[in-house]
Amino acid sequence: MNFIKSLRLPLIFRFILGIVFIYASYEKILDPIGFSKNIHNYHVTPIFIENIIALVLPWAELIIGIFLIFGLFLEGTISITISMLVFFILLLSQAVYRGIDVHCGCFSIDANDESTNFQFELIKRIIEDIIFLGMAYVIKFNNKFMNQDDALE
Amino acid sequence: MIMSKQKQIILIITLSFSLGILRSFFINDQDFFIIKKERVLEQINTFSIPNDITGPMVVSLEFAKYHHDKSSVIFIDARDPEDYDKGHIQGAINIPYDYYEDYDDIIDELDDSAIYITYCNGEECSLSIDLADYLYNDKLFDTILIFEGGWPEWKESGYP
Repeated sequence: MNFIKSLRLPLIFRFILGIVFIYASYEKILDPIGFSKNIHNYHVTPIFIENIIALVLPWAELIIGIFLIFGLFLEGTISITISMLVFFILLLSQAVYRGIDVHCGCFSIDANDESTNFQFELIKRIIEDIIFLGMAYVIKFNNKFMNQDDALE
Repeated sequence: MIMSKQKQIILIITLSFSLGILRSFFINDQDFFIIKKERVLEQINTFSIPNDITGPMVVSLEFAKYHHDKSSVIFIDARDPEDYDKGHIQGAINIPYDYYEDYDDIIDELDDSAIYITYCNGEECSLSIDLADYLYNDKLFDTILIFEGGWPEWKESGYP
């Protein structure tokens, strides 16, 4: 147990998640128009909010990434991180389920045609997000215990 | 200073919104609005092709078939090459919108005064519209039409 503690997993996870979020935000901040088109391709949002999401979400990712790395406002940051990851997992899952080719936003014509490759990509991203979600929970519970320890002291 | 979790969340959301709105002032695109408007493309309801169109226009399956038979238009498939290879409208050329930069040589060789119809994977697919915009606005083609039904509708009708 001490060995696991000595690994400082929550700290490592915070850095990993932080870098992932900052990296994910970078291109979207530079190209909100392209990101808005991507959002459109998922066919889940009403058109009028697509640009707002494309503008705000990347900044939220950047801020969360920075806060995770520096350990700022950790309680709120980790809650938003978890909500976002759950949202992404649901979004990607519905795309796989409905057979949407998110790349061009087209539904594939035949159920078993060439889009299998793309489905595989989506499933890979879902698995990644589930791993990140696990990391986020480790950080959350560690943070909770630390706060309890502080309170006890 | 210790902030409650709720306050921290509100702080992060407010910060993100402020930066996002601020970012919108630096977007050089007249068509970009914070509240996105649904784009309504004009439709051609006859079989004749208007001489002076002011933007890409939408055409029906009947229109596409009529002009396909007369060979009066050139079809452009905006899907990926893999999709194109699996089946496309007879005589159509392939310019995948996702890689249009790689196809600049082919685009430059095309006669920009000819009439083109772009299509992709049906109404849920936006590649044909994106490609039409690109050809019309950036490459200054005279007449770009969009067949929204695309390959699925064409294939379903049993057309070549």
